[in-house]
Amino acid sequence: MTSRGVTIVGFAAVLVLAAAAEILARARRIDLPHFGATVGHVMRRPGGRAAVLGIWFWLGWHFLAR
Amino acid sequence: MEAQPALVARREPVVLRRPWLWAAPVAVVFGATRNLTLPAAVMVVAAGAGIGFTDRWVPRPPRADHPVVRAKGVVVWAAIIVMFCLWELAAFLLGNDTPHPTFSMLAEPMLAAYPIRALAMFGWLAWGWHLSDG
Repeated sequence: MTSRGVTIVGFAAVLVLAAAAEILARARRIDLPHFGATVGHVMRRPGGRAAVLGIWFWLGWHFLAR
Repeated sequence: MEAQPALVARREPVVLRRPWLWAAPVAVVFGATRNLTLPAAVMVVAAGAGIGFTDRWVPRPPRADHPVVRAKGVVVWAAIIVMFCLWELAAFLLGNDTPHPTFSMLAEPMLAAYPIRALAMFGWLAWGWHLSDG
């Protein structure tokens, strides 16, 4: 496999892992909160809220504006 | 004759109750912009500022649908995000080129197409609105 293929497979593997964790968490098949609940938990603290909203803005800036 | 304050129902403005009313037109217009241009930058900054302002200054009732989350859950999700970031960093340090593309580089051609760009903007706005509403 080319290095490009390895790089893409690496990204795909992490995304598949995240999707699997989310699906299993929502189906309550594993002892893990789903992603939204985790983000909501982090946002209960002012610092966490600012950090999550900052990350949200940066993602928009990075992928949509620059 | 003035209405008695107690009888006047306090309602949120329609832009707060139905955020898609402004998010959809913004996304439709944004889809026609291009990366690294002033209109795209202005629209993203304006949307970010608007949602940030709403989050800070417009009081809304907190959602009660957040279950209790143990530290283990936060650690697992943080580990997945860190894995993604480390892979992105590795691709960047190895060249950020065709043999070692970063995720941003892979996403760029897709986000240049009008419908995907408009949908991505709508998704980003919806996510930000959802976050600010929690």
